[in-house]
Amino acid sequence: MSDLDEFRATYFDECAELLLELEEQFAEIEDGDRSADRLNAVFRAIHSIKGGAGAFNFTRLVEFAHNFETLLDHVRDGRVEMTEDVASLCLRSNDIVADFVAAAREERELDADYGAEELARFKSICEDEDDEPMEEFDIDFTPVMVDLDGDKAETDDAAEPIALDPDELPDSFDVPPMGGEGEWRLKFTPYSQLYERANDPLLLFRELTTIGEVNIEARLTELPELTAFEAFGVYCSWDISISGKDVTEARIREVFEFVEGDCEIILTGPGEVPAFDIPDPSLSAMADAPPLVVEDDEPTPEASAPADVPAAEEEALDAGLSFADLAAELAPAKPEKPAKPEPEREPASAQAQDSSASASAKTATVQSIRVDLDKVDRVVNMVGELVITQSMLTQQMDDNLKSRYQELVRGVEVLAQTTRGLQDAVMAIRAQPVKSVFSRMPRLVRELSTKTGKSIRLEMVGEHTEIDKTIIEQLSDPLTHMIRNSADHGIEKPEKRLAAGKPEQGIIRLSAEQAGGSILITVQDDGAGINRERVLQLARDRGVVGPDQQLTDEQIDELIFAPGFSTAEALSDISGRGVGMDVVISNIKKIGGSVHVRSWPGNGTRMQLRLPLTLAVLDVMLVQVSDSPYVIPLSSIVETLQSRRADFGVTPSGRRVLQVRGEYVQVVDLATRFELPTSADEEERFVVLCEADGDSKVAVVVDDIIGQQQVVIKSLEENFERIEGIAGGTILGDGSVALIVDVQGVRHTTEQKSAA
Amino acid sequence: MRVLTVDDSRTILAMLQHTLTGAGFEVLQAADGQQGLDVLNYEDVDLVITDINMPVMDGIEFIKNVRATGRHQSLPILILTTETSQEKREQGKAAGGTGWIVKPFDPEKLISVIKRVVH
Repeated sequence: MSDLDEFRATYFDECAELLLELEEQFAEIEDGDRSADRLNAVFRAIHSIKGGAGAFNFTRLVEFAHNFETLLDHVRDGRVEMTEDVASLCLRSNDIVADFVAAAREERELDADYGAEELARFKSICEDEDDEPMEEFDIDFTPVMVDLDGDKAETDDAAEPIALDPDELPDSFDVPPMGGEGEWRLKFTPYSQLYERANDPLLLFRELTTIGEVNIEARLTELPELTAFEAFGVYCSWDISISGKDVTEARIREVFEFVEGDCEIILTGPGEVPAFDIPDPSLSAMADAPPLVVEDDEPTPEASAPADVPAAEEEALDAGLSFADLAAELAPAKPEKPAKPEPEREPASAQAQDSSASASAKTATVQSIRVDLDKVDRVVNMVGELVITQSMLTQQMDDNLKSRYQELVRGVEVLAQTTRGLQDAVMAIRAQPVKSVFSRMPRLVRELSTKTGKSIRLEMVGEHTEIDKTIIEQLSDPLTHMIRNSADHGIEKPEKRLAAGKPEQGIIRLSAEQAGGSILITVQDDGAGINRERVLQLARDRGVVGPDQQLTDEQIDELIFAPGFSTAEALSDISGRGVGMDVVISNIKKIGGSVHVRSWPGNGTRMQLRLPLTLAVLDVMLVQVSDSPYVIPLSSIVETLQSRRADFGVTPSGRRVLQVRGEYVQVVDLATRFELPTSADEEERFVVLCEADGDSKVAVVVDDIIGQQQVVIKSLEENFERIEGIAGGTILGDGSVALIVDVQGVRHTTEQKSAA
Repeated sequence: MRVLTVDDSRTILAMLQHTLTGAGFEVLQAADGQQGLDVLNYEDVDLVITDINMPVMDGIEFIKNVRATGRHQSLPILILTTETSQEKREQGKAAGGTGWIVKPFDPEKLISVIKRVVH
């Protein structure tokens, strides 16, 4: 990847973040918050997008962002009022900026008139306010990536002679070489603010030597007597002559660009009468001092400083001249070399004050660093291994050992505690607020609101809830689907709502909360609820539900997640995006999550995602099946019981069931399922009652229950291949491998087998 | 030579870093004025290049704060800004800025401007 590509990647990353922030900010602005902070944040984000775009020559993005920024600038300083109209223009424009960024990233062109209407609006709004013509933004600038690794790498070395041959100078200035051979004369008198802004005449002179032959003479006539001398006073001025074929006024002026206003410059072109005043003959000692000449072939900065010329030193017999040295030394305002020792104290105390001030400010800001996710994952993995080792150590501690080595036992206990803490801390690194996903939703609801002609308000709660980054990445699609569903099927048209005695505006409430070891994400609307009759009818039509199958209300509600139910016909163009709800839901299940839906006819629907806090570590129950260890995720276990094989009933369709508290539950015998040798039927067996889809349960039959523990998940797919009914593998404390049972999966395949 | 670059845009920071390290400078970074001050508090640098529009503490405030500390009175500060308007530059200069660089910057030009303000 070339450097430029890398910068582009950085830029688009950054844009994604900025656009996300803009979404959030605009959502608040739309809700009526027009505080200065918010407007500033919006302005800055657009400004940053524009800044980067300029570097990559995304001219249309630059143009649009620039004009948008101008409008925002007008809004934030009060020249333009943020009316509803302007706010909605901003919201639209924000989407357009996002589109331009996307187009730039994908290297495609948007329609020539895309955004033209908004662009015109910016201009008209801003021009109404002030009649100044819009300042032209320089978008023709093409940046050049030069290879600076070569010879130029030494440019930081001040002692290095600067290229003096005008022919060898980089032709980076746009001033056409004109003017010419004659001698330009310059009288340069710095004011104190020139030094206060850290400019240095010495550097200006050095710069001058790059455009022609330079002769510099210091004028020391202003130097006061010793008693009147001020350490930070400015007494020195210079007479300079520059000659060379490339010397032009513009090039000379450019050298002094930064100090304009901080000094007096009298420039006389070749042939013009010098405006310099004649040195006062009464100060003959100064006038007679040899001119401090800088020859072009030895333009070291030291040599160009008047103070360091030895000739001046020798003749400096009177106080006036030796002060010239001092003046030149002090002129650039270097506090470490003062004439008197006293000033030393002041900067030091100022510095101390500053450090305490910024130390207190520092505590208020959250400091962060950017770390490659791979690095974090490596730590997560190693902590995982540590957890395994630690639990292995604990297991090896038999009673004999415990009584003999109490110190060791205590050490292992502390190790266990620390490992837990370390694990939590590492998981916290991977955790991110769900806000990053939530903040995309207001825009979605806005779009849906416009498309459906329904008035919808989105309420968000708990967006600061933190959850593993990988899970967050998986959240966007399900949330989008759920919200589309609510907006499309849940919320009614305004007329209908009014007729039902509800407020015209529908509400979708998106919330996140932590509940034990999982995160609950809820999308709830106050719409009409699920039309169960229609859903059941559709399900029967599509063969999802058998014609005679009787379903409870809850089961009907859950049908909307059933595979094969949500087809294009069932969905309008808004909800349907090619991927059905079932696919989305199965993705959630893959990461250990579950989905539930509840509906109240006439009052709305609630869809709830339950997600694990982290993906890396799992609380499990360790069981044994035919001498092999298996683990079952604790989160899916409802209860455990003992039973005998003879207690299992068989349904007419050949399924085995177990009656638990009056409810028949499907039985999955892991030994049978995994084709392992089974023990005698009469023997007492253990049954782990697990929660499967929705409210349905599965009775998983195992030989023995060993205990509970935490395990680190190792992917089977990455290391071997996917196996139906197995969610992954893990290494136990004693080093043996146990497979993680995918309860949903074993149930599914068992159904298929018994049906076959 | 060490340069402190202060900008809230990672893109700009990365481009500055590339150009400056390529020219043999050592580069320190800060994402806003406050962070910039924190860095200056315990690091010695020879030059500061700062953006104007930044969260937490903007470039103007940052420059004022830098100049207010006795130790940094002769530290050259270049203002890096997309502002083509005179106004921002004047504000930056009034706060104590030494010079300015207009974004988007050309690497060669950047180095030549730096040469104008550092030894």
